[in-house]
Amino acid sequence: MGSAASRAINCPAIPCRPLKGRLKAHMSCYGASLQWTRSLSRRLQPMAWLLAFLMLWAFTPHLAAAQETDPGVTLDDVNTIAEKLYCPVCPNETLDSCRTTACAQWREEIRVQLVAGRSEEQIIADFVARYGERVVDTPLNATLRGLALYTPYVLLVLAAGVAVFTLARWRRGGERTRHASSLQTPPSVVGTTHVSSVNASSANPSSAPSPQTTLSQGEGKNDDDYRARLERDLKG
Amino acid sequence: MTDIDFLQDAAPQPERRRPRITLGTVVLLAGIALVALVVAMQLARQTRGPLESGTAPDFSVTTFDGQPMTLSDLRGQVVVVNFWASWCEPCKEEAPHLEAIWQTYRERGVVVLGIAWSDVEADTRAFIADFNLTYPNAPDIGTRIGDDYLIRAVPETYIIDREGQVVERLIGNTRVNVTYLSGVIDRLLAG
Repeated sequence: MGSAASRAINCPAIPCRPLKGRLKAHMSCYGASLQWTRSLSRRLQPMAWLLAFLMLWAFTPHLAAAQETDPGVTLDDVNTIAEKLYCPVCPNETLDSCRTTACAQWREEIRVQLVAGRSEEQIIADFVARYGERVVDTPLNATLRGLALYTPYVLLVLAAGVAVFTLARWRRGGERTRHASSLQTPPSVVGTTHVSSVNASSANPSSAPSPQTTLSQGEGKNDDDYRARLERDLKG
Repeated sequence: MTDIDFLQDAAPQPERRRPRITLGTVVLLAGIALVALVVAMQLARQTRGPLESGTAPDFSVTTFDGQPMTLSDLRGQVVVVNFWASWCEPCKEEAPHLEAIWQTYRERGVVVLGIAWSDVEADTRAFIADFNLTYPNAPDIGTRIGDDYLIRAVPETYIIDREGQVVERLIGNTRVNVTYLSGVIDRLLAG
């Protein structure tokens, strides 16, 4: 320590400058590095404690979670059931996400029942029996459940069917009206071909089906009336 | 007027057909009626007023001690029905007051009946033990009693007179104390 030989030696531990004679004689490079390390450790000690505390804090929830559950029953198992049940006081809040004491107690009750070996269905049925149907999102009764789940789809299909049926009927009605109006148009306007076909069909009703035969009774009657009036007017 | 115009004017108009009631129409109307019914029921349910007066809905319970009780059997006595839960903080504040009322009036024709609403039985029993509650307490199985009394949260307390009529509905615990309850009960016992 402090010998003159050490004055020009580079410090092997830290990249300090070569020790020079201006340094105090009793402070060698090793001594300086040791002191620096001690000083650094003293400075870093609070940070180390802080880091240790933070790590402990970060792992605490996991430790707590591990303590909460029994072997074989995880929080995921509890939450799988809890997400199908609803908080008794908070509207539309599922049990797994609700932070009230009531829900914490209910989740604990689920865990206890899971540990006891009860199935998900049994646990949900037990909750419904104790707290009513409002704790579940859909009724447990198969008929009511089916109604609740499938009624919207059935109504949708029915509505689509009604819409298709109505559109088809409108379309058919429109075609029929167009057809009837073309038949009721005066023969001189339509042309001789049409007149001849009308006459042919009226002369021989048993012939091949003409457009007239596809008309309803009322429309056929109108056509006959029209023809009778036309003949009467032409004679007069 | 040309011949063509004359003929066009003379052409008979097609008869307007009567609208027919088709299956589609029936289904559509039934669907609308169904939706309207559901909406009306929901509205009626939502607008149902709180149970402030009138005859108290009857119910039967089995207390945690195994004793069966029916509200209508308590006619002739003043009944204090308290809906509570172990997870409810205000319930913890009012429990000693209810116990004091029970101790004071039990020999004078007053019954305090606790109804544990939406609670876990083990926690309910722990609550009863913690507060040394000696008045009868029973679980609301299926929350049917709570539904009849339109309970939305706890605590709620109903004071029922000797004729089975609801006299007071106390929401929360602000008025559930010995002073207020004694005043009401004394008035009912005197009347």
